[in-house]
Amino acid sequence: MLLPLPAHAASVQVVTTDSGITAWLIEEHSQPIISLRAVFTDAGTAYDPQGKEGLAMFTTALLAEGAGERDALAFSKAVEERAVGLSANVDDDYLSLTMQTLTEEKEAAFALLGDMIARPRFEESAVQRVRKQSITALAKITRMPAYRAARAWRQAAYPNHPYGKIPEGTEATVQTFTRADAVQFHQRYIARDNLTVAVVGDITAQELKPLLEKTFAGLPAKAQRDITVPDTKPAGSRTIALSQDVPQTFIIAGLPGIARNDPAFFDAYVLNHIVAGGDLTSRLNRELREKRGLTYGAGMQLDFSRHSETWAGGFSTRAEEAEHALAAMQETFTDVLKNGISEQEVKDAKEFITGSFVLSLDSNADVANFLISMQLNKLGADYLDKRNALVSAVTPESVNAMAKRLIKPQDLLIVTVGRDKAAGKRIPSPMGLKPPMPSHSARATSSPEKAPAHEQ
Amino acid sequence: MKRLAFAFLLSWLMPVSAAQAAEPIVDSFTLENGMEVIVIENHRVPAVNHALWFRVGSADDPPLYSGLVHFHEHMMFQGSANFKRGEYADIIARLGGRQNAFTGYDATAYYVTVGKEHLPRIMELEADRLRGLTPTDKDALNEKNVIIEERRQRIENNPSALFAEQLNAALYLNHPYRLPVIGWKHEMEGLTKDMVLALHTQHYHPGNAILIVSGDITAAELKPLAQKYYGAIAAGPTIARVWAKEPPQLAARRLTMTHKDVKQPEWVRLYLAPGAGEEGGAQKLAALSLLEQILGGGKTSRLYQSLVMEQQLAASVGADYNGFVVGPGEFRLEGVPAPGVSVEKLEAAINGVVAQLIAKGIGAEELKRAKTLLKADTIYAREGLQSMGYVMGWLRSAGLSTRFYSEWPDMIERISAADIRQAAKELFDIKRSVTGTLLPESASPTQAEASGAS
Repeated sequence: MLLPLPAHAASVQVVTTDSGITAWLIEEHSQPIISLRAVFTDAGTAYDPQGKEGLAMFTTALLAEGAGERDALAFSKAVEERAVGLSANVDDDYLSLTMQTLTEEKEAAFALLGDMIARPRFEESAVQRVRKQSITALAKITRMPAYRAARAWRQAAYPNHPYGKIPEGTEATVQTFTRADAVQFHQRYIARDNLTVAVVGDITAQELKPLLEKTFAGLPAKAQRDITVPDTKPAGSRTIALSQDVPQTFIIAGLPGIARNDPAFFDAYVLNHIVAGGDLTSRLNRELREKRGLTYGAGMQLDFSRHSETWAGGFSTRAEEAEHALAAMQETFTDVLKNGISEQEVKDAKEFITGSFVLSLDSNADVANFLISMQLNKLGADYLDKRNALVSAVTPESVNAMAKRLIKPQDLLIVTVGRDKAAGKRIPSPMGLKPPMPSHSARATSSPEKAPAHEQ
Repeated sequence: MKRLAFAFLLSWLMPVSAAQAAEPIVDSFTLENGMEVIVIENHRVPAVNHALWFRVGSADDPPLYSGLVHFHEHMMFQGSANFKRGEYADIIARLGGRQNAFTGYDATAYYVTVGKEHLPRIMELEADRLRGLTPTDKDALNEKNVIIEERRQRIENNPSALFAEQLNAALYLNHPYRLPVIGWKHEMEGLTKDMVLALHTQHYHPGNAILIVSGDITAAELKPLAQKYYGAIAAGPTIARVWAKEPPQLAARRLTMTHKDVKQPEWVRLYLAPGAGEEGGAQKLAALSLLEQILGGGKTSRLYQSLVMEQQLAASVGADYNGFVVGPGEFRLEGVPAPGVSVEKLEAAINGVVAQLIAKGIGAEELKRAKTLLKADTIYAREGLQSMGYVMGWLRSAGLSTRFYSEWPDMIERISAADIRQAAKELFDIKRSVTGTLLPESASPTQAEASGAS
């Protein structure tokens, strides 16, 4: 049964300033809170220069360490004194800012945001401090099997592509970072022509316009990239076993995925939910957790970066059962191909996906994330109204067709990290590996998050 | 660095504004069978969050069987009289709902977020499993494997988590909070289906439950539903929670652990601290929460400024207070030394910051800033279907009244610098603490004590 959406959820206003800065706005006056999300496209970790892997994350972490007239301490004080929430994150493609404020502090909040993104100071003391913090964080996460597995997967998927870079960098690359590096990254990639903004909360279009102008107008007009990231597909047809003496083996498996604006996208979305995405109810969890007690939880998701798409995920299980669990996972896929997805499964999945949609709209920040996704993926301003109908249009036939299209068991790229197994292929494990998959993301000084285009 | 947030209901503290108009309406009533019901209105989306909290947590695990309450939480999904194993999760998914559960020291909670019109069906499901569980031996065995995997995933792969368990067991000499919520592995292996059923019979009754429904609902709408689905269930026996008490703590403890997967050392100190349920504990929560923020709550905090910025001895440092519990709480200081800095040096510097705070007290600017943050939290927490209910559940399960919820901003505002200084003096008694250093394997314990390998 489809729930009617709250009427205000669908009323997107497009606010444009004199300089041409645009924001999508949904007004919400039930609480005196405003949430903002600002995303810079093609300003992500894929743009780290050769030998300077980790620079995008480093630069992002430095944004809040002093901006405008305020040094690091003064800036933090100014943010806290007004109880403003301000953070910056970066992933493969996007550098994104999140701001949350009480209505009464909105002028100050926008001003702080503007300083942070347009006038970061990159002071030498901050550069040194963040460098040390990054190295310390690296020392820890590079020993975590989940992180190593995720990194190795990406490295193997994109051996000759910027997506194969290590977003956190390595101790060796981070040691080389200078203030000039951060200044240059910021100057090149943060501009008005790659900016997307969403605002949700207790503010009107009339109030927002001058604040937007003040905050972003000072940015350079155009970004100047000197790296081009070509479109690509993840490589596959391999199993890689890395060695680490830990009680559980971490397994990540994946395939090429589907573009967000593919007309059949929701067939894939429903397929993933049924097979690997739907918590306890997915086929993967039924096989691995409910039937065999092999894992606390298994999951996969569709990931779509600007230049590649994947369908990947994994789980961890006790070391002695790793091969058994991996076989069960592969069997889950081959069973889908052989026997198909049933009508009932598709019906149940659609009911969940449409019925739970409203739960994703219960806060300003969540709605702002949708507005970003709608803009970046060109889903249309009325997407929130249309979305459930798009899901309802999915049929068992279209889901099974998508299964045949996406599930190519021979193309699976599998990485395991765990105790030595005679059967597994072994490669030496380099220090510091690839970007984490969203479900296993480790936190460094700035945390990679799901690409902002991922709300559906 | 947690800050709990509460509904803001006292208007005189803030200028008349939209903030006032937006205060959520909170109602409570009790069914005849003793089930306490709390309703929190939030009409932003046509959905509700239905949460059932039971006053049974890991502190109630029987001797030799740590992890039983958590295991029982898992077994709640394995079938009841009218719903087969897994059916609970399937039905909720079909209704477009999201569900989960968690176990803490003091309580276990089960929550579902779903479109408003499905609330009756949710209550039907919950009432059925509240009445009794019907797992098979095979299901119990399978689920035991799942919780052991969970333990491996959360703890055994992770040296910091393994160490945290050891530290916790040393902080509490006698109180059941010393045991891991998930249980010690060797005790988890001994858990049986019959123990789960016995626990259910003993603890899962309306009289031992708090129902919290938040979202697009009013008390007037909920009352007949609560009465219909839960009102008919018998109250159940009065449950006496008998927990071992802490004796006086006379000796500072020190633990050192080495692990092959550790490269950068970590330092932690846990102090026994006032808990909400202890005598006089509730009155100390505000001062200690402010202390937590001022001492180690973020980049402007005393610890961060001194250790990370000025002296450059730490890569990270912070403080964390967990006091909203029935028994004794804990106040945690932690830090990771900067490369090349020994844990000894880090510890000495942290001791220095704490000593300075006690000697010289709190400044007006930092006090004001901390109060602003804690009070603003009360407003931010109003958003979303889950957070208000979550906070109320923690309060009630810690034995605090619903009025505490609305008085929190006022309590925060009333705290003086002298109050915080006094709270710090009482809190930072080394005899009531355990200090832990986590080191790379290359350092032997004695070597580590002497030189602080990095």
